[in-house]
Amino acid sequence: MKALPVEQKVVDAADELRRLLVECIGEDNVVAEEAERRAYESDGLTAYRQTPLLVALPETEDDVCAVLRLCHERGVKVVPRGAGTSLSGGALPLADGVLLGLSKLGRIVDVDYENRCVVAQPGVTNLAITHAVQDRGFYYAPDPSSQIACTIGGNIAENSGGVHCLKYGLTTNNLLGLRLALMTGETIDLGGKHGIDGAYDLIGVVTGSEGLLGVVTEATVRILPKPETAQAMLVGFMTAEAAGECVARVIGAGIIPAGMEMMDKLAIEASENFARCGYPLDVEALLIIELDGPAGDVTESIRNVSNIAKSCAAASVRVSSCDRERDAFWAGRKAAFPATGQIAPDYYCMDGTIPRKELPRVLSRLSDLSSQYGLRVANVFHAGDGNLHPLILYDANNPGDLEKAERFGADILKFCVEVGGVLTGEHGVGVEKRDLMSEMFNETDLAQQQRLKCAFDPGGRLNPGKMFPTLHRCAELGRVHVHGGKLFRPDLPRF
Amino acid sequence: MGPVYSTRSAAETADIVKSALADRTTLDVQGTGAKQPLGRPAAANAVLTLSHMNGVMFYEPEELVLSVEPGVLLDDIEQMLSEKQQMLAFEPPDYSGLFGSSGSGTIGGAVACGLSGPRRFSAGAARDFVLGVKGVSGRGEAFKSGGRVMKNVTGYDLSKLMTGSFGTLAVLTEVTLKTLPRPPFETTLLVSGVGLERGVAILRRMAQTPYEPNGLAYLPKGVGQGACAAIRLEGAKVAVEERVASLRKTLQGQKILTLLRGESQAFWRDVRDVASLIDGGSPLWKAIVPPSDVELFVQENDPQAYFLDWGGGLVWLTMKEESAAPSARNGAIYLVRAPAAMRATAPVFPPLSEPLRALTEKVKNGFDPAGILNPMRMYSGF
Repeated sequence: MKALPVEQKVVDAADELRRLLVECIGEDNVVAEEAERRAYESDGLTAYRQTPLLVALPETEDDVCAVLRLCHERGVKVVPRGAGTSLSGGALPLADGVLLGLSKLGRIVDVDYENRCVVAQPGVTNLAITHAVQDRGFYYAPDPSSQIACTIGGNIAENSGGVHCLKYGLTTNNLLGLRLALMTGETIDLGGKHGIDGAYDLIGVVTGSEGLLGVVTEATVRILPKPETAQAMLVGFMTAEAAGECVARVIGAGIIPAGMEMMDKLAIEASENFARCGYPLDVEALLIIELDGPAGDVTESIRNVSNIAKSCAAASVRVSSCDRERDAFWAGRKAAFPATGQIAPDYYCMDGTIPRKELPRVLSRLSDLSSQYGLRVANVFHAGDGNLHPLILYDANNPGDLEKAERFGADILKFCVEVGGVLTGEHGVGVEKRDLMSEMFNETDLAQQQRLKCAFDPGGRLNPGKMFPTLHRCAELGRVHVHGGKLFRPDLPRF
Repeated sequence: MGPVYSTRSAAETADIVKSALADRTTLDVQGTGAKQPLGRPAAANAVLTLSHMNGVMFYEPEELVLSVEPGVLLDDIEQMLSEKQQMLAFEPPDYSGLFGSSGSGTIGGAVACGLSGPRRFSAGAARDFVLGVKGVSGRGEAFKSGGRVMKNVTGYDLSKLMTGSFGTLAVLTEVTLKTLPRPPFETTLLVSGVGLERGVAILRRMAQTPYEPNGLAYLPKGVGQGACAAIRLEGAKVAVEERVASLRKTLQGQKILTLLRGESQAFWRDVRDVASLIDGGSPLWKAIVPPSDVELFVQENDPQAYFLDWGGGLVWLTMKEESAAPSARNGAIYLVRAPAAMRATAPVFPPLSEPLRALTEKVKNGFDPAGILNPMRMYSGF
């Protein structure tokens, strides 16, 4: 990854900027000491590190706007950050930029059962929303694996998913309204308790925009009544193809499970070894299928899925009989990442999405690449929605291993695109996959996206260096190329 | 109306738009024209029709994905999907009755107008089912966004931006949609003889249960079946019957009618298509409000006729005074049916705050700097 050139005059004026920030939001909310700033040097993608010029920790929306206005006026770059759990370097700081940490905006503003929504500040954690409403039998559906730590603001920036996306959608499908601070310090309200309305769907645009368009200062999210029942099944297969076939037939039969996860042999072994959750070790692929909803529907679906599994030559089928057993089925899957960390010194997590039918082809390619690079790979797969997380095992202490793992990862993602998939399903582009964007988009596609960025942030000060492989000036993107004097197609048929 | 240009491919569309850009022709972008009366009248001097661009790129039921050109008829899509026991879960409405047009229109029109039926409060809106788009911007450049997979955060989500933008940003040349299985069985319970207050209370209670109702409407006396709250349940037959039994218990003492499959389908089709308010030429309004505000909204606006959908989050209404516009403390109000003269002057879409209007205009300029695609269709000025 090539870093942006550092603006030396901004760095040289750091003391003055610090003084102005303190005037805006108070001494306690500005971090200037190098040792303290270093705490923010990376996010969940720890391979990249950069100490920020200064850290601002606003306490209120007014603070957020004041910091943005100041940075806008002085032409200083701003990198927003929630809890810093991004796996793509979305919150990687800049040496000449202010890191805008939103953790102090951590209040739940309103819990409204009548309108089935919660209004939260951006620093509220994902799980805290469910905790706020679970006593009344409600929950917030998107459940990224970092949900104990990650914030709703970060979830919106990355359009986070989780294991229940096929049935319940991603963050974007569970938002009703947003309040957004623009780089100028102005705020706009989009949607609200009534939901996303009229006008252009800017909530759709902002969600997943990786902090490049604005800073969310308040979010209205949908909460749902907890399903009456949830049961999970653990189904083992002798081949990944059979497991893939089972997934296709379940959906083909009109069943949309709440979650449908696949693990390959290495992932099963690592997880079982780590969590002792009772996974079968004599199978090549394991499916965890969760069905939720009204009791009668779940019973019916479990029966149907069992029959389908048998028709796909399942080697073993277990159905959870109580919530404790269901949690045990999930325990291994949820521990898959740390478990992988136990069987290798380092791992590199990928996040492509593919059309599900391509799974056998992709797995076979992964296996070839694994031999070619001499690095092992464990696969966990959100099989229901086609989101694949290959975990490439390596040892950063071996010179060249990290670079090898990165090249291996890039090859995987290119292959995902080749079979009709995408570079990232839920982790975001960030700095990590920025230079791969041209695998999926041509220059016109990317220019059109960047023009949207120009509408929100013409100066390009908000989180620059993420998502786009090449930065263009907005003036240059704004030019219209007209093919001079050409007549308006007199040759075309008219009806 | 000026000349009509018809396109058969994305490349041809790009050529037409480029040429229009060169000689400042403005284009009124249409499918079959079924939703022409919706929104503000476009101030254009030529028509670009996409109704001949009607190929099905692929439909893979087991992958829950359908990719089509914009001119494919909604009726044909419904037919194709129902053969595989699937559906578009956002229930795109058919406004041919409302507008006196000849058919329900095209998928391109449904996506461009971003209209969603009764399932919106449970399954989502049109924007939630658009996985990817291809289009031609007002610069005459073909671009794509999104893809064909369920989970994708690669780049900005222009698919959602295109949905509901009324063709003001780009001409859609392909849309890829998520399909869902059509539940094998459905039942609707009509709790009859209830006034607004009681009806709204029932909808609210139902929305809080885990019985997963996916249709919740209220019709007052004199509209459709009248003075009833409607609850739709879908799923496997035995399971729906179980849920019906449970719900009947919670609604004990009420008069309940049961609508089975065909009747239930017809009921919700009428709700979706606003069938009960078609008659009479009065301007028709739509208000999206927080369900908690709906009683107050109805009381304050004292409509001529109205009904509620989306669990009380959507009010369809006509006013006693033809020139009067409803107002809401919270929410968004649209003028859905009115003579063109009224649509050209009244706020057809919810008004925008000043910073949001400025941003909206910049977004428009980023796609269509010369303002040649459906000018003024959404807002006066751009």
